[in-house]
Amino acid sequence: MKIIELGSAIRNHIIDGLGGETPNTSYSRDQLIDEAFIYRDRLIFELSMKGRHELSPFYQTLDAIPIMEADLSTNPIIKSGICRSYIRIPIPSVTYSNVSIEYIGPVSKAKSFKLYFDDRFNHHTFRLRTSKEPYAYVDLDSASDGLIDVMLFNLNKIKDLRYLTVREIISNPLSFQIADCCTLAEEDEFPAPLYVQDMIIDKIVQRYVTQYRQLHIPDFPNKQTDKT
Amino acid sequence: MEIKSNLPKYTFLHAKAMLDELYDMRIMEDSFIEKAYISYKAIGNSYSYKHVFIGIVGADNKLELPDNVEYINMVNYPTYFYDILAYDNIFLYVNGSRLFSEVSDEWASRFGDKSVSDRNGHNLTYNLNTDGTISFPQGDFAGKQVAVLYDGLLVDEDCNPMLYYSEVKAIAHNVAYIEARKKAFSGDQLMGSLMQYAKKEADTAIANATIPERFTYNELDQLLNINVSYNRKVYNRAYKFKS
Repeated sequence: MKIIELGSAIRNHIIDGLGGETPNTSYSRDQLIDEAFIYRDRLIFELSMKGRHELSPFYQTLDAIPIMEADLSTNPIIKSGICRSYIRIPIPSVTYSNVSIEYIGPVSKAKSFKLYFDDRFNHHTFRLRTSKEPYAYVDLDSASDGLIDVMLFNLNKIKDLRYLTVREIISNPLSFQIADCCTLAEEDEFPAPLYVQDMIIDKIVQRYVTQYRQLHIPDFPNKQTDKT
Repeated sequence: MEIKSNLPKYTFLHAKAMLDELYDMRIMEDSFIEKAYISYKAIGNSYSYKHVFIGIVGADNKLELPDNVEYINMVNYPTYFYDILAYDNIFLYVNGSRLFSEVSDEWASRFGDKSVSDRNGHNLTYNLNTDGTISFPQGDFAGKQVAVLYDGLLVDEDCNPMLYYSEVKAIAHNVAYIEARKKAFSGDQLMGSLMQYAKKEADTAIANATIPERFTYNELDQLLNINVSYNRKVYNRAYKFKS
């Protein structure tokens, strides 16, 4: 189902469900689409708690993310290693044990970089065998444009590397912009399998129709009397 | 032929493929190699073979050694090593590929005529540096070919050690145990039961892998000369003697 169709389906269900109850039945489709993406993100977190395999349909591959050059060695968080390059990727979803980023590496998918999400990357140089292999530190502080920084280390072995491929679960696929990367439009397919789309439609419709209708039950006084 | 068939012939990442098949567990390659090294050290096997490395000394009078050097036997000119092939029980690995005595013609053509070799019997003096190089204090060897005879592990092209099948199996089970333990301690309840299963399998497989597949006559003699006291009074203690 396309994104715009999913928004329409939710909207039609809500209008049907609330027919005759509320006088104002105009709902913004854009807002419903946003809510669908929010609920998708929550589903991803809940599915990731159950096991990893349910997440495989959610991954999206971004090819040809340009590597940018900057000397980040003066960054106070970086104690060891020479970091002269970084890339910017969309904010990943919050998942159990950080499995939201599956791959960062060359476009050929030959070599997956070791990823660090906290300051443990400072101890990479003390690994037994792979201390000289390239690795990356994912700085989860997000910027206003919906992108985060990924600092790359030990890239001097791989020469002439200009682009990287990232395979990750993007938190909000509608709201980021990378040069040379295509983003989602409203006419594209909704980035989730059909059974998840069905769960999203059910949940949002239920929230609007059942939950809010229960909140607005009119208070009738209790007129019953005991029959003695 | 016996020794040939007993060579470790599986590359290090065979264990990753086996882990994938046995446990359906996906680990990134870097993390796998680290965990596999921990398992490999737990097994404790290290079979060294005689290698010959032939390289050209750099302009700074230093020769960079391969990664798998464990112990250097001697350093000399390449032609000197022609004589070593006379011994039957030494198998040489020249720059990574095995050299049998039946291909001695190739050896001769590669390293020149025997008659021009420096056969005075004196080995070259060298200093072993901490950065994996050797330097030559006596004389300038820059640009010359030098051969190093050393004991080293058999390695694949990524410079990871080659494995026997029992070691591949032990590493696969033990990495599964390490990974399941890590996840179970961080709250994954399904991994708790897998941890218990993999622990048993890993212990058995590691114990099997420590049985040596390559057996020298000296080791066999040591084994046959073990004396056992028939009226042992102390239990749960192991007395270990230095051989």
